[in-house]
Amino acid sequence: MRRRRMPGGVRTGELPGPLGPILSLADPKRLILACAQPGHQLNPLVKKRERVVGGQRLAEPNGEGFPIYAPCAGTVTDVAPALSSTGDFVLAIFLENDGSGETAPALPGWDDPTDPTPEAIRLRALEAGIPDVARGGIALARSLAPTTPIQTVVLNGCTTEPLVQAERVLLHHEWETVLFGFRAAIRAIGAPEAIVALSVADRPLVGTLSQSLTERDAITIEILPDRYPQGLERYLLAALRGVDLPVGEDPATVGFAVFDVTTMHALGRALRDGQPFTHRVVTVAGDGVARPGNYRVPLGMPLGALMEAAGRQGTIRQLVWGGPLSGTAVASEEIGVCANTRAVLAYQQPVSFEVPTTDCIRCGRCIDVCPERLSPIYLARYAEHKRWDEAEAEGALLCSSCGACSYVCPTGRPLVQSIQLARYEILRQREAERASQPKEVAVP
Amino acid sequence: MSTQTTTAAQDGVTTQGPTLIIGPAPYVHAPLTRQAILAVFITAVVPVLGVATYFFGWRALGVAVAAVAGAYGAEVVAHWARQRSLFGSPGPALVTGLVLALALPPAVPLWIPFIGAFFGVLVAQELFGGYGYQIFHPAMVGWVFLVISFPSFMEGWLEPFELVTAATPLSQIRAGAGPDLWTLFAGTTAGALGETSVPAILLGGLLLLVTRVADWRPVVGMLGTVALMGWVFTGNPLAELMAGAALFGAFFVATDPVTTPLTRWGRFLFGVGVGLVMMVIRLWASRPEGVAFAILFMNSLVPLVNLLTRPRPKKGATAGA
Repeated sequence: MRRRRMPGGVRTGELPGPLGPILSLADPKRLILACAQPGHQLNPLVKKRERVVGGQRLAEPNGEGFPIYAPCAGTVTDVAPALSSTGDFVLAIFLENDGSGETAPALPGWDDPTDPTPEAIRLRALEAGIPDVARGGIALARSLAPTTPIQTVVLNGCTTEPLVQAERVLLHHEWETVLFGFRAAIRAIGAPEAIVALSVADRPLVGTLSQSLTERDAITIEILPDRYPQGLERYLLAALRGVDLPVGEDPATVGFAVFDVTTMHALGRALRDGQPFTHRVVTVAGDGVARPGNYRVPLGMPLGALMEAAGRQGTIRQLVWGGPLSGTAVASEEIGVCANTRAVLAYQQPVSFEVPTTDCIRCGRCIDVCPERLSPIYLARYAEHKRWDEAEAEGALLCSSCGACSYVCPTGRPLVQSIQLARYEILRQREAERASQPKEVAVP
Repeated sequence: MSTQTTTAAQDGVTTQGPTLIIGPAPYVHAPLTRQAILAVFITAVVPVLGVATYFFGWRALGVAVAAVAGAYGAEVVAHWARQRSLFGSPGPALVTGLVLALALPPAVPLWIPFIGAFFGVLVAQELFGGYGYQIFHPAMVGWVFLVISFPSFMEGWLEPFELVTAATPLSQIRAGAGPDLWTLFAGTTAGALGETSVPAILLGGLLLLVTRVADWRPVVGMLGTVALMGWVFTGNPLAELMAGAALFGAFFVATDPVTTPLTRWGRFLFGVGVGLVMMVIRLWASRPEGVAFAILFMNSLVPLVNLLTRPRPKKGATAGA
């Protein structure tokens, strides 16, 4: 049970993000709602030119997925492939807002998270179309029905990354809803113990938070250092309970269920207010917008429209989907906001590949910040010389691609990028070896 | 290297506007870039150089200019020989030149700092591949080169303000009659340009530590060892810390990123080693001071220290495919 503070990490206070109130937006004119979920595609329930109202079900899963809903009333203009953040084209529903604001009646709600049965909580999580954002967007209902026994449920309130504040503002301003959802999740899973993990930057919140907890809750609040990537499950569980979660494993394998704030907030809204998951809080920042902030954004809002709403300024040359260290630069503004869009960063000057790189000065900062105790300086050199075996021996496969090494490197060397290349090559080689081996391997 | 992409148009998805540039994360960078590190370092040297000018007159600035010119000259010559663009960033040359200048006696003729810096940068830095590849601190190599080649010029110690020849406090201490601690602290003693004033060095050093340009570990390791050995062998640790180049070396030389170990505790060991070798030279060798030799000796052990203090990925952590 010895706790282990994550080695290294980046001080997130170096680049503080906007931490104001949650700003609301006028519903955009057009929405692009992707119908893709991990592993499968949804069946659209609406056709072109069909009129829908806010909260109406637009598509249904044909397997272990969850439905999606219209954030506002309007007309379906098309059901066609659209570009996604990963660069693939996926089936999407194009919706044109008619401005009527008409909404479907809400489902019945509960006043107390302990009223519904675990079965009812899972059913509502499914019906409300809530993804488990932290687990790659699988249905939350699946996470609430674990196949292995869960000892501890964790609310991950320290998913801090420089600039990204979307989760923190929900804790600051809508804690009651988050707690409602978290209590329901604990009840659905039936775990004896629960933890709210906070970053030390949110220590002032502890008073408010603990006041709202009761004796029955069995929830403890724990404070973790304000370091990125402390919020990654592997480092989170090590810091909370000294648990060693192997790289790439699900927390359930060691008896934990970890939920992010956005997911719990959505669950709280679905159970209390009967509202489906149609909006999420997105941090908008960067020098390409005049009004950075945390906006409540309807899912499907095109990034371009979000830029207009946040006061586009200058020419945006790089548009980042997600956090500045873990996100992806997208190729188009015509991509709709999704459940996992924690942040959208707009830059007039592209940073990726544009920081001038000079010779390494061997300062060792990349080693200091690596939470996995790797030596990015050596790993990157092996990768640059295509010495994949040595990169593997140095632990390239342990890298969680948090990007801390590249972030701190004074000479702007592409460290994590090179390590990712090495990972890719190592895994490709393994795959090739596996394929070339004869099938009849003796099993003792 | 940037990947230009044209935004796609498919099935009625039309896009207009400027081209977005894609590329891998991260998309932000920590404020402490190489340029910033060098700029902070040079700023930290300013108070030391200022006090040197106050103590020893405009000559101190002349020595600094000559040393920087020598260091930069060597870079330009090397760039010319390697057919690179001639005039690179002046940061590294400024750092090397200033460190060497502040380690010299006040009475040197101006060609001494010039050729010392020129030799140090050309041989110890450029021949090894340029800034970032050097194994030995170029300023210390230049200093040792001067001490061995021109020993008579490297003994030009002057009393501050009066500028008359005087013995350094370290020699006086070994002879049995050193100046009192307050004089040592104020630095109104004979000595190298930058090594005498303790307040100026602490001010610059504090700036380096607060901005995290320098790690505290080599500083604490070195000064701790000096104090400990001073206390054991001379009974006067404060005098050992404040006389001579120990403080200047700890803050401005042992914290060099390039020629010190990569790991945190490696840097601490480096500091301890420098302190140890320096004190051995001071106490039992024929020279009164040994910071430069100690730094160069420990520079040669850096690969070994790196190997010994290598962080190991945690055992039992299985790599997920």
